[in-house]
Amino acid sequence: MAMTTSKKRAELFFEKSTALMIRFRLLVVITVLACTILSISQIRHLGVDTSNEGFLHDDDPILLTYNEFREQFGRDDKIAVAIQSDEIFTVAFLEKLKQLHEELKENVPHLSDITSMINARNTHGDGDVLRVDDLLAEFPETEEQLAALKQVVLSSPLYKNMLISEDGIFTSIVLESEVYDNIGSGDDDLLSGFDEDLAADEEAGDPQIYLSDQQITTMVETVRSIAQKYDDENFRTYVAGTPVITQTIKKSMMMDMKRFIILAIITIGFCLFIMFRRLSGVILPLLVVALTLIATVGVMALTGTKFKTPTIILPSFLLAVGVGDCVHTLALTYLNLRNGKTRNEAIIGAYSHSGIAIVMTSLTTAAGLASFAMAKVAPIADLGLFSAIGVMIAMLYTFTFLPAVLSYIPLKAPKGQAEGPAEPTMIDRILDWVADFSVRRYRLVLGISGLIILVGIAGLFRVFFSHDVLKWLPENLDVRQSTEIINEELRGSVVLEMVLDTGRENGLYDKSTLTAIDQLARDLENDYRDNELFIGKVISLTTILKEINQALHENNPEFYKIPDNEKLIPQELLLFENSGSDDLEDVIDSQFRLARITLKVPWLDALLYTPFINDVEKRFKDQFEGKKLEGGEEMQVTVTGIMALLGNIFYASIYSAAQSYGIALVVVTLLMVILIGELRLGLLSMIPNLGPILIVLGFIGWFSIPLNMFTMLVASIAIGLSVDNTIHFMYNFRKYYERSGDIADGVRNALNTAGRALLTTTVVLSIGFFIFMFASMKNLFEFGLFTGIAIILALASNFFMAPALLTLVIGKTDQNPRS
Amino acid sequence: MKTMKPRFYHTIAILFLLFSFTTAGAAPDGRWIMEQVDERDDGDNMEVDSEMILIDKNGNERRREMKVFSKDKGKDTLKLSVFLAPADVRDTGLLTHDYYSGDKDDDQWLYLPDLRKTKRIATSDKSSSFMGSDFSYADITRRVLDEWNYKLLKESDVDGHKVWLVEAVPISKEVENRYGFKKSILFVRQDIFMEIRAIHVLQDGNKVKYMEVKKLEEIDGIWVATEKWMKTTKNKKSLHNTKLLWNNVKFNQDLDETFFSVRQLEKGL
Repeated sequence: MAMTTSKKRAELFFEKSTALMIRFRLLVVITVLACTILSISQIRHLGVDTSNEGFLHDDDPILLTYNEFREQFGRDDKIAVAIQSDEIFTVAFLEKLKQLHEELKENVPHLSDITSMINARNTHGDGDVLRVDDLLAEFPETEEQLAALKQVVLSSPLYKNMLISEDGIFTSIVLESEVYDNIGSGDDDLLSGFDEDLAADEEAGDPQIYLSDQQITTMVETVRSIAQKYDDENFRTYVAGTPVITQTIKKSMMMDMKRFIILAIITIGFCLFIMFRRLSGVILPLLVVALTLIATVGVMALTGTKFKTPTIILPSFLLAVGVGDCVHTLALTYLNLRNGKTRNEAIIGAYSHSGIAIVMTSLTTAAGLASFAMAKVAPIADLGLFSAIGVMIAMLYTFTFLPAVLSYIPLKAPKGQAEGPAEPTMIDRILDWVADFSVRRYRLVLGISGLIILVGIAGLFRVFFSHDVLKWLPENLDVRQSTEIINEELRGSVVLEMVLDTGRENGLYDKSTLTAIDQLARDLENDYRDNELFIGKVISLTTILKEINQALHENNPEFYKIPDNEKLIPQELLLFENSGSDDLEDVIDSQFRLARITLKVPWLDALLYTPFINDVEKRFKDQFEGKKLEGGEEMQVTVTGIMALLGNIFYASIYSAAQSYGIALVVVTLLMVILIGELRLGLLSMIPNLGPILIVLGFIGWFSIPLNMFTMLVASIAIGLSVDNTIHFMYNFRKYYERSGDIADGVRNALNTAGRALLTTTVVLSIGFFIFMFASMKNLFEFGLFTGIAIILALASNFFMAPALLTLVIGKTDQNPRS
Repeated sequence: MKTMKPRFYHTIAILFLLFSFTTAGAAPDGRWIMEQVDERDDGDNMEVDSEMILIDKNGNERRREMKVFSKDKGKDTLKLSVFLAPADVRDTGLLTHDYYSGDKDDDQWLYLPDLRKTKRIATSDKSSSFMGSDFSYADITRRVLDEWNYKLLKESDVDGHKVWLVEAVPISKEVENRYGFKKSILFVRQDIFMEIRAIHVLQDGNKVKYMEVKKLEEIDGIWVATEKWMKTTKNKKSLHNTKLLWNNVKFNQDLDETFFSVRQLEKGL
């Protein structure tokens, strides 16, 4: 009874507040518009960060390690241009290669290094002379010179799978970008360079700014367009590498998403019109969603949160939730109009009836989403937080802006009210049949839904994860083919970076350490030889040392090894340091303390990387960690590089998404119990709530569709809608059940009021999301499909399973109607 | 009025001429300054204990000590250096023939005591690092006057001494590639015609190097930079530093040209 009076009070509150909104409608509209304008002015400052690093929080140790690495050794994610030709060792080809090399060098912005056969390091002995020069420093002209070059290139362990494929028909140009954005310096700036102490520490001056995503995109596009110009029958060019893939994905994703959100909005508008047959029923929900989105993004900009790749799901999410809120009030308003009420009466009546349910749904959904704010993956945390904020904004606008604007619109009862019933009865009949069926045949309904859920749960065990963004792209896309070719022919396009800290200066003069690195590299290469994930190349200090040792011993391949005499190591390295090559700084620090070991592997599903990274890390740690060189600290091994980053992002996203869903589940359950005001009903409501998600996951499992970071976010939309449906249904059911004490009557009335709005929302939104299935990107197709299915299931569970459950539970224990 | 006009222009022209003469007298052109620098007596038959301190951006230091002998041969320079420390490279020796002419590549021989072999190192450019330091070969050898276009930028003061700031730009792409400098700004002390600071804008990687003479001594009447610092920067951030210290500088030692031979190199000190 207490519950009933408090509900009455709440209904009265919404009546009054809505009346107030209508009375001060001009003020309300102006305030909302002012907020919108303010938000739009903020959006200009919205930062965009679609980089891979953007997935990690700024203080994530993985990111800090990676940044430290990049500061020391430069960027590890390089752009590769592979060139296919049967005539690589001809003057014509080499000249063209040189031209391409020069043009890239001159024109590609933010370039830090470019390597190809033109300038590759060539260390060789020539009588008593040691030469370290560019491979094509002297351009071959005669057949003999060409043959000699071919012999050198094909027999060099350094070039194999780096510059030249084993069969000699692929060569490559590798481009490395700057780590930081360059600040242009004029002459005045130049002269100020003496001001600070020579040994000034790093803290001085402005912080370094990493190259922006936009700058990398420009870089990638310049490389592409230049390579394209040179492409012909005997000079097939392929452009790949992590930056290329990342940029392509982003571009396609942004484009597709934009296109399909617009399409979804149009479709939803069209469906709304079909359902409501009123222009206001189309424009108002979409307007509220649009204003909500603007305000939400405005808050993002205001708080300095950057727009990242997963954030693009935000509009879809707000579309789903916002449309739901509006449809509930509009459906009731129109129903009231049809029942002969005046415009304002109709509006106020609608809010009085569904106001409390909308607050409850919004709070629950927001709380559920806010559980994501703790996620380890930065953009998922942002997404959780800002979609929660968006839900609250949508609620606010539904209570203020919507009634204010509605009261301006000349709403009339539909024409020919008398003949009207023809179409509504169709829906009425369906709703009545559903109500009757699920209450009367509740055992059957429960049996079937139980079975479906069981099948879903069984499918859960078949769910596997995957994160291969390349596979999201259409198969015929350039970058997919290029990457596959480079994977195959040049044995890999991604690197794993290991850093060994030997614990003291000149630690890398230690022969046993160098031999161990060399041996580990060889073991790894052998052990992964026939794997899908093979190691195409290992590069480290030992590569250079072996090279120089061979060159010092009349180029005898037998001496391609760490020198036997340990004392020779520093001497040979000194020789190399003095030989005109600065390549040492790519593999060690200037203290000869840190060694960088680079493992080149093919681009694959990030899922496959995790065990590989763990294995490599374990082997290095077993070998080195804890060991001490004389007078040094303990050795340390660090794993980093773009591949470790991708692997970690993937792992962290699954782990933290799963964790967030767990928290959301608890939070939502608690809220359901509190809001419904009864433990039993609250817990019960979680079954139709969770059912749809379990079934969708099971479906994904049974059809062997890999679950990726993107499709995992579908569940957040599913939770949002499912919670909405359940609360609306339960709230209305209780209201009518308390009135009549009859389960069947409660269900029938609940379906006739809230159910009608739910049906509308479901039809509209599911079609809106199914539209995404026409996208060219596979992940968007899956996103549309799963979200659409989840939306339909969320309705079905509340139409069938919820009434049946109520019948089962209440019917058994609570035979006598309450008075 | 008509007769006035030509006379008026005359006067202007004369004034102009006078003015340009006076300015020429007050500040000589860049080329002239650099000629004086080139002709300055920098000593001969020198023996010195050279110490090189390499400092990375974290402040970690590495020390290298060498005994260096040098002798002029016409405009060319002969140099023999032997490592004293660190112990890892002790007795490793380096013999260089720096040819003044840009047409001829410098010759270098490195003796590796544990290989008991001398290797000639062929390098075609001067832009590469000397012994892993911030000094390149271009920084430690004599520049060819005619390969640069000089321009006097302005006069200034450094530690109370008047200096000219001279900009040097390579005359050709070939010269730029060989030295690795897009341009240099040289600070020349007006009283002793010595470069005491230099800014080098490198060809690669947006790097700028700053050279500073920290200690200047007059030894046997010859001004010698006994402490020189070189800093490599990128985006105004210091990447790496080198301090080059000269101790026990002795000129006019009894050094024969035959001393600067591979045989001597292998024999050691």
